[in-house]
Amino acid sequence: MKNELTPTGAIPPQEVTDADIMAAQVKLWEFLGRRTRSYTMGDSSSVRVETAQELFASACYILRIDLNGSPSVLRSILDWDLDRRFAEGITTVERKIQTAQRLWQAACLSVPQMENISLSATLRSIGSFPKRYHYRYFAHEIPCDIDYQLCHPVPETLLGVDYIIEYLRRILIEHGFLRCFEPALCIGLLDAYCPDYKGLLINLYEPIATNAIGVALINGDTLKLDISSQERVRIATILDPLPKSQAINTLQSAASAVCTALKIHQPVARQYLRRLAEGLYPRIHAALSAGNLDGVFLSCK
Amino acid sequence: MGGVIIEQKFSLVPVEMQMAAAMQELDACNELSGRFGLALKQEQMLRLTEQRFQALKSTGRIEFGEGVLKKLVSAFCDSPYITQQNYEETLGELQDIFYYFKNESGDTLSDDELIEAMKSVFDGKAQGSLEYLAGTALENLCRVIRGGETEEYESSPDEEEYEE
Repeated sequence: MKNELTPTGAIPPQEVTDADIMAAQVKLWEFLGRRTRSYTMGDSSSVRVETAQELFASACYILRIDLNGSPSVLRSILDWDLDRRFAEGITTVERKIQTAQRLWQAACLSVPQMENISLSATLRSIGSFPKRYHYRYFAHEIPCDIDYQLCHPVPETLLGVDYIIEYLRRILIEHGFLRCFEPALCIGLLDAYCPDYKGLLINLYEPIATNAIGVALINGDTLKLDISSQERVRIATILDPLPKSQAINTLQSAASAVCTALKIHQPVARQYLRRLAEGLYPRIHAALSAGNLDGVFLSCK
Repeated sequence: MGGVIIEQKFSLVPVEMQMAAAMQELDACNELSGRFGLALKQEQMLRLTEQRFQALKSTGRIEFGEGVLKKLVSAFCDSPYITQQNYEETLGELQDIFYYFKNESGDTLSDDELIEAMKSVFDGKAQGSLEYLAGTALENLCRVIRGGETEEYESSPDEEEYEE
């Protein structure tokens, strides 16, 4: 008979015996029972299926079990002392929460001098994350309102505090980049990009970084940010004749040049900008087909 | 997100070992209920155990360790409205009612609190009527718990009965 803890597809039957599956299933079942009793504080022998699923998902996150993973997961479950591993996992999560708090403080202190409501609201919400994060029972959840869109979103495979840490790391990269420029120039560019840049859910980094790459393409002064219509024609002249791979290489080289000019040495920050440069190609290609780069590289207002 | 993965990977059917454990628990209950002239035969235990899992499934709940049947037997075996003839049927109904009202109360009542309320009404105002227990008294109680219609509940005779 199948049951709640019977893997139905993740583990090839030839790799493990039925006895292994049954033993792992019983072990997980009993462990989940202990987690559930702890959650209900012994008041209730039963919980809603949805609650049990969330408790189980949380336990898998803490125990670092991926039930979609290789058959070795099953062997690990049989070998581990689940309670001990869970306690160690909780300690790790507690350390990560402290890391997230430090990153949040750094992110708040590094906010660029350009207003954006979703950025402020998101940072405020992440500030209350440690209080709202019930990591002993729902560690995989992200109890925050994260409205501010990053240039490169955090993968949804990351859960709980891992997601928050990665989000804050990325936001710090973006803030660090934006703070290299004169706020007035950035605001002028953002005005041209989106007149309601303060109120709408836009990313502040992307238009600024795009223009910085554009300036680097024509060997201009990166810090000036502004691109005139004549300069857009020069950029088009450079990129238009190039095949795709070469155009992407050129854009990525420009991104590297921007990083060097701005003294950004952190590999992850450099890679972040290079990813943006690579992602610009489809937009540039479409804009060149339409005859101009007005919608990609902007002139400050 | 994890919940979705689990939903895809696991079916929600009771474990065989749980069935066996539930049967053993009920067997142990006969000792207590025997003092009041109530006992369950093996086939009755099996039916009640199956009914338990069916009730859990239909109410979307999952149970670990000891089921609630043992507690229901302990609480209700001294009821004047339960006889050997209606014992199995009543236990089955009480079990269904219990899980249903665990959901209806939004899980704010502990097992013991809900069973205490059920027993009080069953032996009191309901006079052994399971329909009255489920259809009137517990509905009123859960409406109050959910945050509305307190006046109706306060003036309800069931409440007076329960408070006695």
